[in-house]
Amino acid sequence: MIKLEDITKIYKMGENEVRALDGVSLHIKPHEFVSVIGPSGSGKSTLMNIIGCLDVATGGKYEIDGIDASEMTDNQLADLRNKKIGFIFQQYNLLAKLSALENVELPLIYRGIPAAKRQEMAMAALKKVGLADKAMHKPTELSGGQQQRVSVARALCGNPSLILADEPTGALDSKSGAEIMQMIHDLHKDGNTIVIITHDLNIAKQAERIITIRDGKITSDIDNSEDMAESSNVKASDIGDNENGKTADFDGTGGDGI
Amino acid sequence: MNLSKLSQSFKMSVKSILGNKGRSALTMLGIIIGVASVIILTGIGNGATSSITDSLSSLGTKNITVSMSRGGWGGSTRTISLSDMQKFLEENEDLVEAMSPAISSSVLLKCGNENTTSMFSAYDASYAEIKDTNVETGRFISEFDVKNRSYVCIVGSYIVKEYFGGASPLGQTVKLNGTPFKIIGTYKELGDSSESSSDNAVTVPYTTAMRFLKNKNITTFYFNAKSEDVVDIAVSEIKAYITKKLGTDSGFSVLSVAEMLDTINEIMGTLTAMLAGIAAISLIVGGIGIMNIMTVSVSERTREIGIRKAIGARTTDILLQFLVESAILSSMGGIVGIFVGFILGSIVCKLINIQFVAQFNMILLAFGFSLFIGVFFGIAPAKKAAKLHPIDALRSE
Repeated sequence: MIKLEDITKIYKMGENEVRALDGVSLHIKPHEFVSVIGPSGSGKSTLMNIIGCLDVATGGKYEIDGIDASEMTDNQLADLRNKKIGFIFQQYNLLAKLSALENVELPLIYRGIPAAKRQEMAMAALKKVGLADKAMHKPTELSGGQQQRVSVARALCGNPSLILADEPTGALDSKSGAEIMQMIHDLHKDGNTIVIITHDLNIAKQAERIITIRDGKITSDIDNSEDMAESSNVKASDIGDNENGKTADFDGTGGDGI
Repeated sequence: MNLSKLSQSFKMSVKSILGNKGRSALTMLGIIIGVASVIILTGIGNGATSSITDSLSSLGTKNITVSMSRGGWGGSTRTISLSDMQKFLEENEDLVEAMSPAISSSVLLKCGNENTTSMFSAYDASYAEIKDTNVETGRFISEFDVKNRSYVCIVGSYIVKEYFGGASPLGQTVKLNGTPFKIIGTYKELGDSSESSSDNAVTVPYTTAMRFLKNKNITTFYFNAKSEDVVDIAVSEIKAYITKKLGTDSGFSVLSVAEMLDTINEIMGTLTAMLAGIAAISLIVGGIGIMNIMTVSVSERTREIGIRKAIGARTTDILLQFLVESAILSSMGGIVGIFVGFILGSIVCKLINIQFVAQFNMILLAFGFSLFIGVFFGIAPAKKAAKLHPIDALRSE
């Protein structure tokens, strides 16, 4: 499904080179629920950009659904994002001037789906997140939790192979956050592949597989699936170098966006 | 890119334009002023042209004037005779249908004890077939008058007003250079009936004038072409005829009103085009205004562009969206400009008393040009938007 092989990403900042990713290899199988956790500056945002086809790696090979994305043009990447990936961002990233329905429709517009079919699909997605009655509302007329649900609807309406969530609960209160996480769990149950990027250990622990990244390298890759049934006994010490028992909050600033 | 995407871009652009009404109106202002001034200036230019050509046409579009210039540089000492011209008329009945010799000069007109220097003209009776004689009361020169060299005259409204107090002067006598002439008709008021206007005029039969002025040579002949279509042929035939008779092609001119009309139309056309060109400069300035606003709009909407790109907008989608937006802005400005131009142009033309002549192709051109300006000046900002990297665009606030 997702195959990263020896991915490096180097940013040039004047004279200096910054290795944001340094030889990352990662395989994610279909229907997996993976969380990527790491502190600010660890390279998890860069990893998410590359998995999300928002950026191209400097070296290595990236395949999604068997399609090699490492040598693609901007337009090919746009098509790939459109068809294969559903994004859920921390800041929702809805267009303020469009209604909830229009926002959900947007990826379908770029896919070239006719208006009637598009509206039907978008409405179905909104129904799924329980916002059918708010279809005509503008994002500013919705609460944070509702806006994030619209963005979940937008991510899922195009039936992408992969749902990529970047700090999906970072800007939400705990109740709304829990609702969104429940929705993501439901999506997973429906058979979606999910990658969630977070700095919050409690969120990360909800995934079947927890990948820790630090200084551009994967430092641990833990199978969490057996522990999912009971309360998770993955310790912070297994993941990073935090003191035991304390909720890992690597950067404490509430996420670094993407 | 398919049609549904284009219509989507159109919907998005309309939304964005309506979402920023004040700014959109300001952006359009430059184009509105540009298009309106093109419409106004060409409308006035065309109106002026048609008012000039109308007054020229009233001289008769079938008219041909032959003038001999005696002496002077390059001038012939010989002149064509009246009988030659009459012969031409007889031989070319398919081209010309009437001819009148014309003599113009000035005379001392005396009525009672008062004198004035009047414009003096002399024609054949057939002049009435060539031009509008503008006789108001009485009659024009008859063939009988010409044959008998009658001492009769038609006088202008200045003379009627000044010497007869506006009462009918028919049958009265005036002295021209001391010789008495009977007034048989009066002219309509052509100017303002002042001494220096064309209303201070007197006309007599040409035969009488030749004797009276002791003038053997006639220097001007008026012809009437059979139809407007043969004016040009008639002109060249007359030229050839005179050239053959004189043995030279200089020393005379053969002019038609139609030819003069062409010349004037050409000059006025150039003038109008020049005015429109100057007005078009403001259209370009308006275009730069659009470019400015679109550039600002792209900067403001960087995040929006990033979101759109992240969820799958291609470079062309973004390009199209911004291009369509600036095209809509400028073409809407164009349409408003056409209306404003029409209203203002009609008002201005009413004030200066000419007809506002709007040509359909000019309107189409103004609209097309404003659309082109919008697309042309929209390219740079739209390209800037399209080239934005999705990550950089998403990071911006």
